[in-house]
Amino acid sequence: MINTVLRFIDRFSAPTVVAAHCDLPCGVYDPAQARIEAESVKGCMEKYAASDDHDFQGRAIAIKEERAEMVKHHLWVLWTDYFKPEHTEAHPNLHDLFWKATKLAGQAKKTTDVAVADELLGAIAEIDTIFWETKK
Amino acid sequence: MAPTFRAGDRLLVRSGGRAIRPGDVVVVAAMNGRPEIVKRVYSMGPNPTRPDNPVDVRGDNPEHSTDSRTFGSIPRSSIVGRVVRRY
Repeated sequence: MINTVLRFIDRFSAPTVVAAHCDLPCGVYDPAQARIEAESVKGCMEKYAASDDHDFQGRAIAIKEERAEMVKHHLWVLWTDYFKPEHTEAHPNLHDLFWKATKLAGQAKKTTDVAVADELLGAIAEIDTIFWETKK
Repeated sequence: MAPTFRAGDRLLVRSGGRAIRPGDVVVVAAMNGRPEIVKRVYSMGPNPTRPDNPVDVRGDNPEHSTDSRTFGSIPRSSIVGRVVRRY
């Protein structure tokens, strides 16, 4: 009953909007974060291939996997925090694209094949294009 | 403030009334570029009636909350009111 009255009053005097988990510090999104980590993945693969030092190669692999995980993280943040239902309506391939990109990041952990890193960078570039379209 | 509140919930906020105490859900005035926010009072300084008494506010969903852990305590005077009802 009281709720009905309150909702009725809201029709004439709209309530003020307050934030609950103010997105302020996290309001900055940019696919560049994922891209830079993916470039590190690619760089590690190239360093791995160019080296014959086993210890160095080991490091290159370890850092590659760490960076690939960061790619996933940054993509997930964009996917789940930045993009909204209206964006996926305008870009129906968005979910598939994120799925593909995060899968490629997973594959990049398992291989030293630069082609996989290039594919990953390509997928991130596609996301980047859509991202900047939503900013227009 | 999940799981207590969800986006779009309407809240009745009372300014004045009894003194704010830990556990209360309050609306904090916009300041330092931060929007007006709803948070729960976590702890307070020793002088609850003084406008400059420091109040530590936290979100109910700590992993996704920006609160006193980030911006420090807020003065009691920046509390707009206490949430008394959701409708």
